[in-house]
Amino acid sequence: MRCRQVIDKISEYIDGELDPELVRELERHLQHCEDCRVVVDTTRKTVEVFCHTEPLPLPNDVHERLNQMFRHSFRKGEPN
Amino acid sequence: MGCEERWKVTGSFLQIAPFNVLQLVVIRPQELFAAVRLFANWSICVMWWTAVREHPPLRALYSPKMPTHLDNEQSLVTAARAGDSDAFITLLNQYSRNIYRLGLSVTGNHQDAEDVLQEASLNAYRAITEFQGNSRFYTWLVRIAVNAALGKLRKRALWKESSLDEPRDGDDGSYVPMEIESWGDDPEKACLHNELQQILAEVIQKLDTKSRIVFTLRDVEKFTIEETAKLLGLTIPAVKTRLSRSRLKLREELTKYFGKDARNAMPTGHR
Repeated sequence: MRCRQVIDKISEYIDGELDPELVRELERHLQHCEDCRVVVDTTRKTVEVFCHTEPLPLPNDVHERLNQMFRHSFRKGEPN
Repeated sequence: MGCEERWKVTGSFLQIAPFNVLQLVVIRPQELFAAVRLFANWSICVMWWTAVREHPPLRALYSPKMPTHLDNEQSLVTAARAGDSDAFITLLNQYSRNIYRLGLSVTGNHQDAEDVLQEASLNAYRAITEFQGNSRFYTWLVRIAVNAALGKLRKRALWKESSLDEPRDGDDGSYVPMEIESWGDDPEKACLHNELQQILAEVIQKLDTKSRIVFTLRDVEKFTIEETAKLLGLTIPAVKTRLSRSRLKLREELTKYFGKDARNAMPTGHR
């Protein structure tokens, strides 16, 4: 397997969705290709950092305006 | 003392010892087999744990990080469908920050994100009686929010983009990474939570609109490839292609912040 093929397969590889035979080929390549190892590792970390980051709390003013909108809707007797 | 007497003494000593020493030395075949089997099982466990620790399949990361189901979600949904507005607000409050983040990620600005949250919330409230409970409430709410966000983009004529950004292509159209540099500390350790959020919000805007939505649904809101395809009306191969390009593009952008050399050159606001 060549570097370009590894790059094409990284996404499926880190999702654990790659065919086992391709996984073996890819990992054989990684054993002797430092650049591809770095790309695989940093791609994995990229996904992890987005995946792990919890959303910030809703800004207070946004939360208040959302409540106001609902109070207004309830007063008008919006159909439920 | 004759030979026979010595044997008798030794024999009686072994019998009165706290445990039978001979049993430690002489292992019967079935005991040997059991020991080998125990060692083999233990070795397999160690190898499995080492492999998982070094290369955890990312799909294992998704499910535990989905927004937490409320224990009483089913009863809240039932109450909301029966007209209990407080129950609906409780459900909404559980997921509102995820919906706001989704809106921000897709539209790229806080005003539109708030509009998406308000529109999605109101539309969900009006349609709650139509929610049949065939999916999670959160999935149903995200579907409504995605439609609201796409409506925003259509107004800004951004949803007409037809292809992915091609940041750097090889001769055959494949992606060629340029930033090849390992990272120093993990990003979570390298900067404060708010700073990290700001960096992630900045870099995700480097993606084209469709890729941004695909990436957000899959890797931020943790929907499956199939769910993402269904939510956006795209084919599974199209989602996989966009996801792959998005991950590689974001990797490159984040390397500018978290690469070993980049950390020293980073402005103090982001260091």
